[in-house]
Amino acid sequence: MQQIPAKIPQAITEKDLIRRAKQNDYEAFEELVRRNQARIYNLGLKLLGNREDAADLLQDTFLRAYNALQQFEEKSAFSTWLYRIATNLAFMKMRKKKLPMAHFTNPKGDGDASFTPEYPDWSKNPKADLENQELKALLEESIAMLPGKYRTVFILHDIEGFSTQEIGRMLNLSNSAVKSRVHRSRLFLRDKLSQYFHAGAKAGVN
Amino acid sequence: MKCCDDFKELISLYLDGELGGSLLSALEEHFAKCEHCVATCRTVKKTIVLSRQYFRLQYRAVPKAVSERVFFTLRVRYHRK
Repeated sequence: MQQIPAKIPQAITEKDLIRRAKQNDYEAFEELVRRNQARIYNLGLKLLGNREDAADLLQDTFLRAYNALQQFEEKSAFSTWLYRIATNLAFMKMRKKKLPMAHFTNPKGDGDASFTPEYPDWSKNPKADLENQELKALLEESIAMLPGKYRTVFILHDIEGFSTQEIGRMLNLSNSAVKSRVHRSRLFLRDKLSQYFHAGAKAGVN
Repeated sequence: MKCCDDFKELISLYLDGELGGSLLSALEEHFAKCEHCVATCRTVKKTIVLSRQYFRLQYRAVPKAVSERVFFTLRVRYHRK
């Protein structure tokens, strides 16, 4: 296999590339792949948590994008459209692989069920830093424990910076469903980290 | 505390700047007298910051072999010459 060299100058806008790709200019489509592959690969890593699945997701996303290109109406950014394809494919993958759905105790948002004990404010604790390998490992583990539909919305909103409305359109969810999933995910992760600091405080190490 | 649970439900909207009017005033009044909810708000915010940092550290370039496979597969499927 040979690395295919870029033939299209960076100065050509994405809009032009899309127009050309829609007219069956294959090189323009390849340039769109080249410009967007890193963000889709990294989205795959975040959502699916391993390189093999992220690589498959990258390929499947562009295979589908090629087939569906004529349907792209350019109402959103091309990357947003790709994210939509990728997140929906990632969901299918999560369902097939039965990625973790357990351990999430309060997904419904019931007020009483979501009650958590009072934790002290650890936000300024010097150990609340990713240099702290224990905390980093705990955060990684806790993110992996989030059920797929929560993890996806959390990542799109809090990490990728998409708006509630954009995520709603991407995943066919109401704005309130998006907001609720973001909130539940944040509380879940925050409670996991709080328990760590709480246990540390009790043991006198934090 | 049921009362705190109700306010806790508003914390994400507050952090995202989506809370206004009487709900915002009610939450701010509550913060003034409830250390627990202030701690919740600050630690949720810190959790978001740590999560962003975590994923920034995880960023990877697409491995050359993976990228080549994508271009190859696309060419085989869609660009037979």
